[in-house]
Amino acid sequence: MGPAGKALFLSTLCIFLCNNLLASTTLKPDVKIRAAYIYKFTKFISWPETAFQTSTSNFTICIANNKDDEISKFLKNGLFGRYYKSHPLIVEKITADSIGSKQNTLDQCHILYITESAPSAIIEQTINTSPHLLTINASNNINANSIINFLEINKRIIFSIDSTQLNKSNINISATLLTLARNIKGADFDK
Amino acid sequence: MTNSVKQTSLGKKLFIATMLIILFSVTLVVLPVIYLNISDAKQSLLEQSLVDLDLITANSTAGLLFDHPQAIEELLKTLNKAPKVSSAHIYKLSEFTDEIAHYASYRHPDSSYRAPEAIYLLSNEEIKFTTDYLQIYTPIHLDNEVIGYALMAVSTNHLNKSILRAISITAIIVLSTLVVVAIILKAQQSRLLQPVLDLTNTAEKIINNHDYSLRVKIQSHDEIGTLTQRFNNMLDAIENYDQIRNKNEQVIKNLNENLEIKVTERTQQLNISNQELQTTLRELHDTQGYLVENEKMASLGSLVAGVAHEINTPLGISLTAASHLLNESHELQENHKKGNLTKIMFEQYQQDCTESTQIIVNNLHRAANLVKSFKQVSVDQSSEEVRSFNVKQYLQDILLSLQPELKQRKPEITLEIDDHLIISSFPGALSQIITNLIMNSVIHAFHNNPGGIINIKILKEDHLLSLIYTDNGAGIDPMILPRIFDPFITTKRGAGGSGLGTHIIYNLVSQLLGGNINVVSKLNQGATFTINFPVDTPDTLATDIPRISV
Repeated sequence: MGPAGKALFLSTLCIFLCNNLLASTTLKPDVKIRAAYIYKFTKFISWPETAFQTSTSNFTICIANNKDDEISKFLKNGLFGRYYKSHPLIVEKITADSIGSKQNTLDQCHILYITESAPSAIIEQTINTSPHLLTINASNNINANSIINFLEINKRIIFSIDSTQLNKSNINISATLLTLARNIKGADFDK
Repeated sequence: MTNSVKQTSLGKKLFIATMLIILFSVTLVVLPVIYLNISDAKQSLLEQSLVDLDLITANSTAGLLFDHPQAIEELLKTLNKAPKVSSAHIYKLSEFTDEIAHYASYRHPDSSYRAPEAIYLLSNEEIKFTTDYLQIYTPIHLDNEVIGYALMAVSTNHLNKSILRAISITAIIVLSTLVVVAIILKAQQSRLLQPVLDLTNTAEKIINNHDYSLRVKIQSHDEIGTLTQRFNNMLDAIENYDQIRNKNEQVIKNLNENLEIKVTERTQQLNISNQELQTTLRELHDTQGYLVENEKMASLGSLVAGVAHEINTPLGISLTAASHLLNESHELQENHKKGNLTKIMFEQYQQDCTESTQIIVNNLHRAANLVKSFKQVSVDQSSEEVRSFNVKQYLQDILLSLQPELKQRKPEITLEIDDHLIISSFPGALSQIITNLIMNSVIHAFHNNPGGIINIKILKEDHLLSLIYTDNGAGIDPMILPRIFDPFITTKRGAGGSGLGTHIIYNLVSQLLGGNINVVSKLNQGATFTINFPVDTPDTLATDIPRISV
């Protein structure tokens, strides 16, 4: 990284940190880790170009939550100005109300983070979800058919990967990420 | 002993030179091979290590990013399949503080490698060969961002052992080669050097004994064989020269033995010849002096004849006048005694007496002047004294003295001389020079041509007098012209010519007067003698010169 890049990275990081300093006083530690994981997944997972309308169209991270959650705010602030390849990262919050006002809400999403307070309709939609949508369950208590599931063991956030769901999608997860997964569900994992 | 030392020295030199050449050649070939092998081994080790390091870094990113050190350590454990890897370390770069912290490690059970401090990674080179390890490190990137570092230490023991083995094998090969070459050399040395030793021994014998009949046996047909052949040829030539030299020495010895006798004989003969030559030379000198004296006396004789002739006339006239006066006086006395003396007769007698007396006085004066003049010339001819004289008057006196000689040929002599030219010189020498030149012209040049012309021209410039004598006679024979001044050169030998006239002129000019003389002549076109000699001009004496009138 050159000096200019380093400076840009540090300034961005500063903004990221400064914007969250106020919130961090009330923010749960695991929220930050989860937010970071969601962002870092984009580094090890590849989406097909057909998942984007244009080469510069947005990469949308959807947070399904009916409540006033912290993670969507944290991600919105933190991911501002960041990209997946040439696609700017944006965060959309999906609530029961937004589902009612929009048709095929999940079509615009590339990552769907399903919280425990996610609208039930969203959970139902994951059965027929888009092939380029990475679904992430916030915990084991959620019955959505997600590819990645967060687990909390001994106060440490880890994740597992459901190969059955993964095989249904068009996204690719790198081997290095797979090695980090706590476990990989599904006997027919062949990717 | 010396011979032996020389032989050993030559053998040693050949041996050392050959061994050095072999050592140098083998080293020259082997060193680059060793160097290339070591370089290849290093490069191979480095490339393999870089592959391993790339694998580690590529697979460490997720573990670093998701903060999973166990996963990275599991990954690093796979390096136990690579026994050369001594140690591997992953360092994490903090997102927030930019600090580098140790994150995961792998260490081979036999490794003693100590990982450097983390800060080392930012300040040192990425690839470093130490004595025991190859140490390489690389940043771990994710999307152009450095998220950590990977450091790997690879043991170079195997490489070092390979290098040592290669050097050992090479050294063994070189030493073996040298030993084999040394054995071959030693075996061949005596065979190769034997002809040279034979040559040396033979040369030593010849030097000590001077026995040139010795020859060296030709043992090979190579360069040494050729050298031996040439050596033998040289001995042939030396032996031949030696035999000739011995013969010559014998001849010289014989000659030397007879030389003294011959020298004595020749010396005696030379002494005799020398004595004869001295006698002849002395006789020659005597003869020359005699002839010169004769010439001088002849000249004086001519002078006396001239004097007699010139004085005879005035004396005869005076005698006639005196006889006439005596007769007239007797007749006057007779007439007086008889008393027949008349006045007319007396007056006639007085007149005759006066006239006769006058005639007698005049002629006696003339005779007296002639005597004076001849006396001066004769004195000058017989003496070699310097005096001042008027040149033209003196030459006129000389011509006067020569009148009897000139009467027969009657040459016309003209003088081109300044009337007032007075010089201080040897008048006798000048008189003899002029006399001889004129007599030569009369006798030789005008022998068949009476009435020739002689011109004598005398000029004086500063202290140099030039006398140019020219006649229009028969000229000088070209055969004798180059030797005209040599003694006894004459075309009138047996007819009165002594052959000393021009020689005397030459001697007087060159020795007494200190001048030079040369002659130019063509047959039938006369001759010109040019004489130059230094003179003084005694101005103060000019007025004291007695005037001699002819």
